[in-house]
Amino acid sequence: MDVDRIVQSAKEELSACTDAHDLDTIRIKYLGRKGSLTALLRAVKDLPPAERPAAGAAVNAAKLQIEELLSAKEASLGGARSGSVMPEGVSDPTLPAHDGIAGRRHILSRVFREMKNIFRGLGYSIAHGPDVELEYYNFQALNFPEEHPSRDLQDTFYITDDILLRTQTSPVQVRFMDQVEGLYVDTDVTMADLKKDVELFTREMFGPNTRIRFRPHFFPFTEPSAEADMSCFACQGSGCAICGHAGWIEIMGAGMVHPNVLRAVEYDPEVYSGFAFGIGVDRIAMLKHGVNDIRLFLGNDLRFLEQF
Amino acid sequence: MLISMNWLKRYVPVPDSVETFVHDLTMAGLNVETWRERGLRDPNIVVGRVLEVAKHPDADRLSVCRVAVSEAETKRIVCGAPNVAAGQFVPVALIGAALPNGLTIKKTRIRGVDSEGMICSDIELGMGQDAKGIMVLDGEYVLGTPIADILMPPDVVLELEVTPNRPDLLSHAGVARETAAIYQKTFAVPEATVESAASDKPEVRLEIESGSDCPRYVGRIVRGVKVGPSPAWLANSLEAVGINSINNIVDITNFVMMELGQPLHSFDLKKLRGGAVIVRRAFDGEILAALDGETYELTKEHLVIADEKGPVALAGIIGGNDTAVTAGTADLFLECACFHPTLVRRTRKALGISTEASYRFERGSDREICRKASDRAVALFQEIAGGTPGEVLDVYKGELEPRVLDFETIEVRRLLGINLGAADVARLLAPLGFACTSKDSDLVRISVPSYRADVAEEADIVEEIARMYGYDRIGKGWDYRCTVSAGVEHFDEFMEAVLDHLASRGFTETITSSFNEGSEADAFGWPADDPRRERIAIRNPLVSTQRFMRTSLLPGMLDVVRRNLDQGLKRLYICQAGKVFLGRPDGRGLPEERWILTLIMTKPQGDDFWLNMNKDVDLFDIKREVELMGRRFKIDIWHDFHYAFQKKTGMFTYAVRDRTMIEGGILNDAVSAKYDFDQPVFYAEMDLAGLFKACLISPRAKPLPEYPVSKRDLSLVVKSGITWQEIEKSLVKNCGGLLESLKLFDVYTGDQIPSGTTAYGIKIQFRANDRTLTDAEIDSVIDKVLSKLKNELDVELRS
Ligand SMILES: [Zn+2]
Repeated sequence: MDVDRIVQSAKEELSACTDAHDLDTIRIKYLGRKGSLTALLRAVKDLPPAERPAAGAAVNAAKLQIEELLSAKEASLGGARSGSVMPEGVSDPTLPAHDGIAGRRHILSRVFREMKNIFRGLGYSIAHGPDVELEYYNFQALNFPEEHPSRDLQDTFYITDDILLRTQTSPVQVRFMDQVEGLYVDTDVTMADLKKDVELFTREMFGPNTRIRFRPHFFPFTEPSAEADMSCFACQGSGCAICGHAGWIEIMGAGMVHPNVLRAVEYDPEVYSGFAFGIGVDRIAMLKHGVNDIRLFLGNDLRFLEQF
Repeated sequence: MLISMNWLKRYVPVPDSVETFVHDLTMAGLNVETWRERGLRDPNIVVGRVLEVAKHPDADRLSVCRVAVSEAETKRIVCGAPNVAAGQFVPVALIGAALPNGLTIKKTRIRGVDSEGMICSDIELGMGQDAKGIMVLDGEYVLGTPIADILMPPDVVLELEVTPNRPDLLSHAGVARETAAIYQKTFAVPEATVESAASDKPEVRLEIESGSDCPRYVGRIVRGVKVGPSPAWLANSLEAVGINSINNIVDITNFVMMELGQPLHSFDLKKLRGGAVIVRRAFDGEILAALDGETYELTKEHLVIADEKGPVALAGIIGGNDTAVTAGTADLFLECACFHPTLVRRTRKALGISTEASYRFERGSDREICRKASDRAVALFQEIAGGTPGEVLDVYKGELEPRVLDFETIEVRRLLGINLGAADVARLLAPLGFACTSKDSDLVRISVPSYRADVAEEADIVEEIARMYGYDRIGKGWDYRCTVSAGVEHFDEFMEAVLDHLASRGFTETITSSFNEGSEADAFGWPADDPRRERIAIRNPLVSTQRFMRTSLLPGMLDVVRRNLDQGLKRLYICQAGKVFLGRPDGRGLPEERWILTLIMTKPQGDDFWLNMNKDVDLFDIKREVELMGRRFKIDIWHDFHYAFQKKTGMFTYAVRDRTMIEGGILNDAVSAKYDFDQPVFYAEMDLAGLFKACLISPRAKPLPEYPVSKRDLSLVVKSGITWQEIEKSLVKNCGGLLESLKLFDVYTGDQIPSGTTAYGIKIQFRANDRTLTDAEIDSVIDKVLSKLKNELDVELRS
């Protein structure tokens, strides 16, 4: 009978088998959906009803026998396990192991950290400034004259006459929080040092081919002052939708610390010089990750946050 | 490389302080690994003369000697050496003398005879291996002269780490040159010019097979030498640098090697067969019996010195036995050559021999020095061993072009950041043997000396300039940027790490506005004196919902929850670190800005996953996250902070003294209603800056336990009203210092135990750090623990 021949053939193949990886092939050949024993089982229903029970039993017995032979061979080839791999009552190893939800950092935090790491690598240390500040430090010390129109350059939130929320050095983004400000004061600090750091930062952030340019600008607290543009990372400067066909993207305000600012903290501007810059984290994050609506950041819609 | 300071001082002045010299050498790139003192320092070891030797009355092997130790004084000394004899000049250690081996000489009585000192052997003076008898001094000396003056003056031996690119430093002359350059002094190594006997027909025919294998070979005949022991200064010089004295001929070649860095070898001229010296590759299968007692089978990969019959030396590595200089040798053939470094290296590796000669050749020897070194050795032969210089054969096939580099001084500025002109460059380099000429101040033509094969291009020149200028002077006085890390840097890293930890725990970080509407205080039920009630108002807000500075992160985050629920996202684990602004002004009138960390966990009922069915968020989920975070950052929140739970509100607090560090639990009904939540929301809000102060930023390593752990399981039946915290406290207290860990593995209520009680299954681990604990010891601890639990909390052991 066919059944015996199939069992015999399986036996021979198994005894010749020396590699555990071949066992699956053998299993599929005999017991798989298109296996020879499976085909035989299917053929049982075409038999005369009287023969069916005996034939069915014979095929099932053969199937069991081959299964036993397979597991015996598997054990003899080594690498077998005896512990259970699945929870009790579960036999399907393709079931999902997780519900598809993972935690993550906010995209602004990730960009913020990347920026901090770049500046650390350039020798900067990290300081946290207060957000609520005396007006003196926000304005007079930063060379904003009293009642001067320069004070209207940014929205200023007042708590009392003397206390306000620290405004930003960056002209790019008027928002509370999420601003990286750099300051370097020493003897012999020059605008060349500033340009070098800005360029290194943008290259690290947006790729090694990034170029920068400084445009003269005005901030009360720096002299000379500049706005810094970087070459558009999308079109490399030839002009595209992202850069408004300018080829350049504005990324920060910067400049050499104004002598009055140095004097305000008792540094002699004849001896010391320095530079300062301010970069909006959200601005960088938008550029880097192609976010076109700034409100998404504080919206905290998980469908947005989970994209990063 | 061992350098004797006494030896070095013959060529160049050195600082009196060894420490200074060692520092200066090291800073110039000659790293001194160690240095040690050597020699006889004690003036009580003197030259004496044996006047009389008599047999000891009671000991066959001992002699009783009368020894003159000055013109006026004699001593009686018992001596055990067989070679002691009247008339000898010998080293005598007087009473009180300290020998290099640590022995101090005392007056002793040896078998009934007083001995007033000791006649010393080589070994006792720390000068060699010969212990067979006393040291007998050659020649005549003034009695009582300290022996150090004639034999071994105090010396300092430096061990230099010489890098492979600097074979020129493998000699005293090389180090003298560097020393002179470092101190801008001059140095001088004795130079000898030896007139050679002109001869039409030299006694030896010299053949060099390949100018590549052997670029130069200077052979020299010296006739009529007298082989014998070396004078003390020579033997002592070699021993100072770790080379044993053998005889005057071998010692002189070794001396010249250690002086100039050029290895030499003397053959016994008469033993060279056929009057030929041939430098050639060996034939496969040729045999050489070498001076080290081994026999080597050679191949055509090996370079040999051969005579008419076969190999007599492995070129640049070791000589052969058959042609060695022995006591009877009178005529020498002195080899002073240059062999190909790679060939020497390959041969000595293949044959497993390493010698001082191969060490130098494989690093590259200076072929220009061969003739000079040969002359120096011959002059020393004449001085010490007699002999007449004969023919000299100098085959120089591999003569090198002089190396000249045109060096732009701007390179110095470019690579070192210092400004030096041509004159400075010349001043720094000339003492090292670099000849410098300059047309103008920007360009120097530099001729590289033959012994500096490592200097090939401008960068190498810059390094020489830097070494001589001083590495430590480079950048000095420059303003360079350095990071001064305030505590903020650490806090910033801590905050990042906390948020990373929470992200990996499944929390998504949110960032919300620092402003809010300020209407939450009543709904939250904050007490009247709660600082969160004192809000700071903005005078000119953009919109009325942003009128106040936030005093808690919760309102903003609950807005986030609301918005996400509206989008159909129901399972929300979110976290945020941010500042709150508490309206209690400081001295300057500014509010306190405090860093807070807030977690929110919410999930609707029935939002299941097949692996984790019917599991709603509850108190223990949020408590777990809080304590786990503590664990991660080395804060034992559960044990170190004071935990309190309010049953009515479902809120817990962890406090340190009176300061609440953590508050958490379920959001109360009023707040839930305000945000229109229809699923329970759990939260925890923590004082992040406070936690930072409590955490261990930089833990110290502790030794891992050496002794085994002992484990016990307890099952306790606890009456209602008694909390786990109370039980744990009692367990910890009464287990004492042996408790390592404690784990609650089961909580049971049901039919098996009396109603109104709960059974706790506890695993306890004990360990001592100085011994293996015995069962009896642990039993007695457990007994104590159980009786205390019974007495204090009416807790029973489950039967
Ligand atoms: Zn573009």
